[in-house]
Amino acid sequence: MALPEQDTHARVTALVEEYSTTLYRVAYSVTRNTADAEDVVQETFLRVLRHRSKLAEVRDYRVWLVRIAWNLVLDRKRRAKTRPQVDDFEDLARVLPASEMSAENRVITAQRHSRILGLIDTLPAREREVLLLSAVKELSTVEIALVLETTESTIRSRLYRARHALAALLEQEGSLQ
Amino acid sequence: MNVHSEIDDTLRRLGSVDPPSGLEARINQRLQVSRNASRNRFSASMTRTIAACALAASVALSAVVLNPALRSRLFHHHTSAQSAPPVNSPRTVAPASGGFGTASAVHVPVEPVPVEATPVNQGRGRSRTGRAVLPTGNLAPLPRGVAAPHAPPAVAPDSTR
Repeated sequence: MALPEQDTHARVTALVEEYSTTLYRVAYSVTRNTADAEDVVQETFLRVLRHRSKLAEVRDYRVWLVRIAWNLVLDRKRRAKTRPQVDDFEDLARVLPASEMSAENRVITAQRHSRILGLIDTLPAREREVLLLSAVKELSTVEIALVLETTESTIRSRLYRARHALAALLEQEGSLQ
Repeated sequence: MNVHSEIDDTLRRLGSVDPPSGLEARINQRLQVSRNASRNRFSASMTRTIAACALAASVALSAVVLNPALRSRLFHHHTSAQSAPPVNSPRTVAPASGGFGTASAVHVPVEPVPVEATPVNQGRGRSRTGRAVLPTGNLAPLPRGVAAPHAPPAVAPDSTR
């Protein structure tokens, strides 16, 4: 049953207030660009508005919204693959929370994070996706499983494989340097 | 720092980035713009539909008014052939004409129209209402090919010759 227009309006506004930060983090984990991540969040809520007739049927808003944002951001990433991707250390240093550090350390840390993120991008898609979603602190393993439409045990095993593969890549890179 | 703690640190920082200030306000603003746009689209389409209907109606009305043949066919033909009043219905007197439209185009007789009596089958086995009736027993069946006379046969003047 669809909600009345006034209720829908209030519900969407409440969803924006409650979940925009989570969705921003989900989008940023893939795009690593503030403007693109914000675009994805806005597009997510526009989709919600377009499908507002389904609002009353949704059981878990967080999972529903993250799934929409996740699909949008993967689409965007796929389309942007033709463009050369440039690591923006300054943007990472500005965005990733490290306020306790000096400016010099911040840049060094940002470079290190950027290197790890670059290695994450080389992982197989399924493992990479689980790893990125697990980074979003608001999402539990159960919720990640619901977003990716798989089981919790599958998520755990993918996460384990992803972390070990990433560690191996980092060690390999460190030994080469 | 070992590799696992480096990974943890990177993921923790990645998953706890703060959105730019004013994100919610910008989202709400964009949603409002989208709502207004859809509302305007709806009202524009309604206006177009109403305008199209009005135009079609005026064209149809003009065609009827300006074309005497069409007007005659529309009003006169239908009134005489299809919507003739029942024979025994009370006759009405036409209102004073001079108006415009259907009322002035209908020709209502001013005097009662004489109606002929409906012929009723009066043969054997028929009632006055025309319904079939069962024979009561006093009528012997006629031989085949003999018609029941309506009246006794008249005697021919020269039959005695």
